[in-house]
Amino acid sequence: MNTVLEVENARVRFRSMSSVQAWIKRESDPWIDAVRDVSLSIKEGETFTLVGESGSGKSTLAMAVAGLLPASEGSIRFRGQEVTTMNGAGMMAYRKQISFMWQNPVGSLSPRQNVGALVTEPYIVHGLTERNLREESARLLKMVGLPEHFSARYPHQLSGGQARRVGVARALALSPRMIIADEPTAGLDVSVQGEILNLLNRLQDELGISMFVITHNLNIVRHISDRTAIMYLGRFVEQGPTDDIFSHPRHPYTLALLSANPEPDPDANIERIELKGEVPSLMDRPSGCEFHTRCPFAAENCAHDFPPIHVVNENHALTCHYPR
Amino acid sequence: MNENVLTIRDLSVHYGTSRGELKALRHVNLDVPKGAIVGVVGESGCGKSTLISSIIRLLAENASIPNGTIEFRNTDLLKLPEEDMRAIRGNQMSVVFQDPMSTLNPVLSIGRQMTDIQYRDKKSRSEKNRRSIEMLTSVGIPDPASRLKQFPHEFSGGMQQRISIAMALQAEPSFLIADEPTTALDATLEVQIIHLLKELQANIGCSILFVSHHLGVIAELCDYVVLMYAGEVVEQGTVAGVFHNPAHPYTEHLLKCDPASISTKSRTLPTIPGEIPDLVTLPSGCIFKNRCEYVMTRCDTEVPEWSERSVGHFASCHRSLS
Repeated sequence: MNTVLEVENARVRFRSMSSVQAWIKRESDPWIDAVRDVSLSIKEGETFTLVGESGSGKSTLAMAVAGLLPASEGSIRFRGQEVTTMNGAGMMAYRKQISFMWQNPVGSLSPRQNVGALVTEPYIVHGLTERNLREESARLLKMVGLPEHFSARYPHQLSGGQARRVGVARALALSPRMIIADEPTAGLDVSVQGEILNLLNRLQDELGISMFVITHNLNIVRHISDRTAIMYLGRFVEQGPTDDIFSHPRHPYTLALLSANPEPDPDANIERIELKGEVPSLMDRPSGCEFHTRCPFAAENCAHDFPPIHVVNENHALTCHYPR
Repeated sequence: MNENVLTIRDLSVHYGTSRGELKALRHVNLDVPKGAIVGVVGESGCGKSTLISSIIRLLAENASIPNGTIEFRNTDLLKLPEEDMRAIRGNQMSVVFQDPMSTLNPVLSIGRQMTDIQYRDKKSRSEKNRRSIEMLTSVGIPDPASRLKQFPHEFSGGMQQRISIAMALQAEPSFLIADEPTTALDATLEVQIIHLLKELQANIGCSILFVSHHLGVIAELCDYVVLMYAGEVVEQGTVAGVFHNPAHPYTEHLLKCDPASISTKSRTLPTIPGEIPDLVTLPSGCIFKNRCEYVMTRCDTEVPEWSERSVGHFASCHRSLS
């Protein structure tokens, strides 16, 4: 299978203070790294999931991949083309091939446009006005399992699940090669969540698109994803095939995340690995292993030495001194 | 022991809309025993929020309550004058809301907000400050004295939620309502908050009504669970009883749908087909009939009775009776 997206040592940073402030405070590095030294690759028709707590840099990475934020270092290649150095026209062509599903299903739809206009807006943005928009909207709504008369509705008349379907239809409009879905099931009920995931799985099987899914819901990751990466403070701490990670997590943070998942069984006897304290601030990254402040297995050298990359096999790697 | 802090009987709440009366809650029965944690589960639009608003009497203006009683420590809240209700709110009964960022005032320091809500106590400022520090320590905020000067945005989401819990418990209420307090948080923080609530509940001895749509959290935290569907309570019982032996088809479906309970990898997840009925024009008979796989002829005409299946386990369904 061909690789669709390849990210190598990407770094995304934000200014934490102005240059004048930095000069006054004698701060030599007025930047914070929201994403640091991240590498990943997504193959055609594959689902890649990114898991991590809020503030770990998941959405920042996705936006850098979509070209909405500049990567300060590293390379992001989509089907062989470098995204970080694209000009305006190149970016326009690139964005036809990827589409973004935003986190808030209702909030990402304009309240003043009806569903028909919303799902066909991508054609207008990309100047494909020769198409029959009415037919296209009917086709797209059918694909996501909404009746045709929904094209006259406005976002406030939709339930969360229906709004999510409209978001999927909009993302499919330009027949993209890859969809980036930021928390596709956040705020949805358990049963509706299943419907949306089934829809995404079905469309992926039919159209062969790749998916880049961001979530902190571990329960769904197992069912939709081929590869998973766990992110902590802007770095990948573990990356590998989803089945391997779930059956045998090796990084202490992965272990803690998986064991924190409450089971819908009152008698479940979960052996929890509790994390101490709070997530450290990006402005003040811990020395050595960045996880050592919360790690239940931390030893002395974790506080000083940056952990080596521990390779389990060619697909599965993690950064830890003492993998489980 | 078997004393109830809160007893709701036959409560209905309607909203006046341009299309007609929207029957948001219908004939709801609910018991919160003293010192127990009761979970309320249901999908969006099933009336969970309406239930909470009617308990604390903060319903929207277009709401009306045609029938029912809400008894809190042997007084009917619905008959109470507004002044007495204000004395109860925040003092004997308090709420932790879903989003901590919108619970806390962004332009006031945490210390100021925590002193402000102690307006009932005739204590000096330093005493109130001490009380705030004590509360922050009990919810595990490190270095609370200096944290009091900080503003909500300087805390992480998990800490903000712990501060709202500290504020809700400041007056040591006998009843706490937690409205999806962990949905805005990540898995590891969710567990922290659950443990915190359990610990505080044991210390203070209050009862908790815990609203959530996360079945795993309910299973872990609660003693009793109440299931709501389209404005009705369809099942109620102990957590072990309901999760192991669901009596209502909706409960059964919901438990099956939770991806957490499916341990083998599956590309097609189970769903509940169909839609929630329109609450303005209610269908006759059972409210769940159009989505139920066990539907019978009598479901179409007869409203199922709220009946006891085993000790303390109630459900409203025709099927499991026979």
